[in-house]
Amino acid sequence: MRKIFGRTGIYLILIAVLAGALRIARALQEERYSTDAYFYFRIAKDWARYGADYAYLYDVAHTPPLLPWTMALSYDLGLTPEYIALGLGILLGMLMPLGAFWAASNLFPEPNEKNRNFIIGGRYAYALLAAFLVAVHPFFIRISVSCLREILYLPLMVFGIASALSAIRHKSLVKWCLFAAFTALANLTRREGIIILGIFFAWQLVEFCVDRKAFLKDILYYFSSACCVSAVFLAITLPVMYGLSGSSCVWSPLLINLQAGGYGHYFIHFGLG
Amino acid sequence: MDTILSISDWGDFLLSRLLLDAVFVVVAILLIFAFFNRREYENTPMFRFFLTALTVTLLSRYAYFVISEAKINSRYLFPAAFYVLILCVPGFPVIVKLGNYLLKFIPGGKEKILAVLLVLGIGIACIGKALHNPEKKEYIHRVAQILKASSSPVLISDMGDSVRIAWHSDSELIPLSSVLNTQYPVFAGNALKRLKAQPGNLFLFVRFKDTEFRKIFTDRKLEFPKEFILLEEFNERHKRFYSLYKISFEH
Repeated sequence: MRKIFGRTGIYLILIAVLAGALRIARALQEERYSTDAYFYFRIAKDWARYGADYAYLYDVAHTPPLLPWTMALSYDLGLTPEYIALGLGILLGMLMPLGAFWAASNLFPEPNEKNRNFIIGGRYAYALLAAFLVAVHPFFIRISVSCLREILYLPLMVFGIASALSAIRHKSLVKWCLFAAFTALANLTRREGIIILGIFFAWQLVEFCVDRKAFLKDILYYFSSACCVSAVFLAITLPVMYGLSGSSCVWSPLLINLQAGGYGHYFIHFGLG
Repeated sequence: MDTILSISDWGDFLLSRLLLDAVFVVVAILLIFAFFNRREYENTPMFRFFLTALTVTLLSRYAYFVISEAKINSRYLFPAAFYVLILCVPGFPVIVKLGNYLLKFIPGGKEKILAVLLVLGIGIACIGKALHNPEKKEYIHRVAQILKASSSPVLISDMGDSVRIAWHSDSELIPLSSVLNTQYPVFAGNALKRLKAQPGNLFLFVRFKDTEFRKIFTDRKLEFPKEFILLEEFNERHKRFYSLYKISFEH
């Protein structure tokens, strides 16, 4: 990250501006939002009118609260929820290429010498290309202006994965905490967010299987990173869960566990049969 | 989607749903070229984390589709598409190397120019796809305008777009089941009597031309309800037709 703010930084800013411009162009062209978005608009409207206690009475009660709550804030600003969702979608859509750059720069830290001079970027050539691909990707552009939960979930996931890759590369517990924070926010947006947490534990298992000696040598690091990730994740999600208990929202970070149990049951009884 | 271990389902899931509907075909082609540059995928803990992330995401999504029997919506695969997108990146230099070979036959050609053209080509293809919007559905706002002009509007419709129209016109929505052709005559019978008690101005929005809609009733030897007053017909690219009726009991 040392020399990022040189020429590479300028390229990165240009890519982010391109991403923003494309999303604005799509938003101006679009006459409608995704059908599901209107359910979140309605929850947001009821949240702004009656609070969380009655917001979910007519809709799926386990919908995570982050997006409807953010949309509900729009009424305080004298706007309707679609404007907040669009603004947020475009802004986070602009930031997503930066997340992709961060992820790819840690995934391909040292590209082969021959490939480094691919147009621009030197050792960040691949990272810039990854940022470019995410900026111009047609479906990511469309989803950014759809007002769906993906407008929050995808950028949070991308930054979560990028911070995890950086944490692994630099063996940094602070970055693992950052990963957990992004994961918790992703879980507050879509229940699948818990899968990102599952990836972390699955990766530890993979590391154990790949090189048992190295894993046991660094066992303290792996254990402390697991503690940090779990603690930060719970510190963000549990207060929200308890804050919403008794309201019409029955979201819980633990709900997916029942679903995961269902997967296992199904796999054993039907998948193999 | 039948079982977790069905090879044809996995093929459909990975090739059609993931690579075509979520990753986008132009980007997915890069993955083939990236395979020839696979030395870039070093066996590092970061790479193992990345592959674990892709595997867990795909498995969980696949299991979800099998268990819930939900229709596969490509947006559920966008997280997996992000991982694939990053894995596509080492494909760029391979295409340039291939082009470089071809440049031997083009006098004055330069590798860097080819690389810029490649990136621009992929960018333009993606942007073209992103900004291509064949279904504008301008009628949504037109219908919403008509509804908004009346006091306390109530929209009755079996169309998916009715949720959008109801929101933009701030009207109450009574959704009909989408069992077409059989639904409307039933609706015209008993349901109309019930709707008399419904406060507000009632509107019916259907996915037919007026003549087609009337034909549904006449085919069943039923009289077209005189309560349905046609307000406007809409068409979308001269292919699909929609009609908006006001339901009035003042006869």
